[in-house]
Amino acid sequence: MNSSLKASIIDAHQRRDRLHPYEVLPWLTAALIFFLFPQFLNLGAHVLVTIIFVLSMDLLIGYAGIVTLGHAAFYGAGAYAAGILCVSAGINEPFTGLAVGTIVGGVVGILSGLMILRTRGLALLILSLALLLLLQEAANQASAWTGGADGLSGMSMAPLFGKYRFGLDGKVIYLYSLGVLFVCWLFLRMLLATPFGRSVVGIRENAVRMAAIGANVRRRELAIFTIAAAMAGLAGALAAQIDQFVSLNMLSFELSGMVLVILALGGVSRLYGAFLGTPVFFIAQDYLSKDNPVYWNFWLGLLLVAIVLFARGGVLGILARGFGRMRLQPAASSALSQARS
Amino acid sequence: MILTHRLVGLVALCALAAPSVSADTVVKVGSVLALTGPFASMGEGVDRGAALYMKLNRDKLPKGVSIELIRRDNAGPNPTAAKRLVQEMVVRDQIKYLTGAIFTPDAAAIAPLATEAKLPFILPNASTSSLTRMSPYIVRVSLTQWQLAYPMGEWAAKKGYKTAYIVVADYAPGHDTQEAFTRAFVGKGGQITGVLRIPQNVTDFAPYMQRIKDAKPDMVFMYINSRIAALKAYEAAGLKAAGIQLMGPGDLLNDDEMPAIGTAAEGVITGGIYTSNLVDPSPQNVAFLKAWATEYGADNKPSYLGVTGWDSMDMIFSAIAKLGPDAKPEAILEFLSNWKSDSGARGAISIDPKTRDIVQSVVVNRMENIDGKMMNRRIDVIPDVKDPWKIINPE
Repeated sequence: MNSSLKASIIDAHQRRDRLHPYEVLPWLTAALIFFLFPQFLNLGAHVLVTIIFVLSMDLLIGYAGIVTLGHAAFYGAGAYAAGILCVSAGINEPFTGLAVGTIVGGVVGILSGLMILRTRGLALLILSLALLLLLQEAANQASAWTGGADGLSGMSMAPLFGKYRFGLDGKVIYLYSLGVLFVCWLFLRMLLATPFGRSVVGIRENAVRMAAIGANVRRRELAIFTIAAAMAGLAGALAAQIDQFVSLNMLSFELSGMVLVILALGGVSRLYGAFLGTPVFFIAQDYLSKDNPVYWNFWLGLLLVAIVLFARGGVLGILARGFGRMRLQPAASSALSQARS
Repeated sequence: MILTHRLVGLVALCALAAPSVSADTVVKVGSVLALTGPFASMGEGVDRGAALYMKLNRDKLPKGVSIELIRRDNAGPNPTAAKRLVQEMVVRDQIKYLTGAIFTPDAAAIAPLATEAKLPFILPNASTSSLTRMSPYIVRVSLTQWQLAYPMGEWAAKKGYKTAYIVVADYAPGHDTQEAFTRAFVGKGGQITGVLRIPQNVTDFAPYMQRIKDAKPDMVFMYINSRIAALKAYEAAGLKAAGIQLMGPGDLLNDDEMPAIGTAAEGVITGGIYTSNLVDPSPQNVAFLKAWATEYGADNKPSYLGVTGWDSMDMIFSAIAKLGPDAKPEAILEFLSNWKSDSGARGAISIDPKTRDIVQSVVVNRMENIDGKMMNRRIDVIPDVKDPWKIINPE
């Protein structure tokens, strides 16, 4: 490899990790929504929480290449942790709840990861699903703690920073969720630029080759699995707090499925797939179900079929095909592809 | 020329439209139900009952007042969506009344919201006893699990059944049913020989039925989700032939499932609040069934949910008729808590002002085979049943 080629590869990588002006767009949109559409802040807050959850799933599926159906297990674990902390232990300070939800999500993640990650492909898919169903039944049975099928009610959160109550208008929960999402995004952005982040992508591309160049594949996979689980736990805790309610749905297969659908809509392994797919999904759902509360699922299904058939890579894929070619300069891009091959 | 014509037309149109727009005060009523998903038929029952009432009773509203029903689907049970949708209806649409929530978790998630928004919230199904204590704005027009299982336990003991086996679905409503029946039955001198809590997705009941048969109880009290399979297994395993009486709450024998269950249900005794499939229906029930058949076709039979949907709308209409469209939430709540009616398909029902829960008769029916048609025959009526759980667990 000659030195000029090496320099241009490094240059291309640095360019990719640098903040792009486009990346301010989601935050700008979020701010505009806050001021222009105050009646949509509740829906908005739920969109923001779901984005965090979808981001954590993207980390697994898109970056690490670990396809699971059980990701809701960590979301639900975080939600129940925050809920039980509030109802049974009486600790209702929001940030404490978030921390506990994150830790519990992470612990469940590392324990299950030790088991699940021994397998690959279909076996992994089924094991993750089994874990989810086991946790759901456990939550159903432990009704003294979780409320069982009736759900865990009676969470009353303390005001945020001791000052701002979670009101009806949704302003506080919107800004709270936005803040948490921003921290998560910043963390992921940095994580993915580290050598560790790069190596995870490397494992996705070719696990054998990564092992051959000396990377401990199992340990790295477990680490990324745990991080994703902790982040899902964080999203679950946040959801429990803004709803002030936890139900068995948060541990359901349907929820895992919904997140997969959102990823397919938005685009996998792009970080911004979550930012685009989630609002598209929620707005389509909100709009369609308002128009017809009985048959709206049909149109949502049709939209999905259309995306999967005609727009691989989701909404972001369409955009990338339009603009993406301009992003990397020809020399750098060819250098990258040369280095890959 | 054309332009002036159009303008004239437009002005005329405005003139026509204007009075009706300005004179009508619109009262917005929100409804959150499971209209899609596995339990869509339950939401649909309530939805149809409410729609039928609205269609037939427009003239009950004061002049110049109309109702706009805002329907939302939470594909329940889905408390997160239920809460969000109600929050939106409160903030965006400014609803004055709320009805709905098929499932207890949905209602429980909405409860704190109803309190905060001072929104009268009428339950047409969710049946966990403690719900009405979760918000002072909740009024229940449906039933509670205890309201059926407890009087049935007492009734069975009184009729001379000594031993009973309990079979319930393994989730909160099943556990409620088990506790209620046990307390009442044992309290009157009966004995529980065994309890089976069956996971919700089980469809093969043969092994369970064999176990019950071996225990030789006088009767079985059953509350289960896969009713068709369970009833067929009850007959196939020979429990009926062995003389083990099967009893359950009213929805053990859903009217719309009877064609599938068939003669396996013969002789089964249920204690419920409503059935459309009765040998000698009351005049109110006949009128209701006739209106239903005209609207939805002769083949479509209402379940108790059609009746509670109708009654919840009756409550709202009578509140608006009495208090006008601009009543304060406190006044509405006061009215709803003292509401009474005998015009609904269930006959005389009322709300207990102390608990805001319904007081109604539990009708004991036996399923009979009348010329090849399975029909309920009323064999007893337990009048004015209040929610027993609230009496046993005072606040």
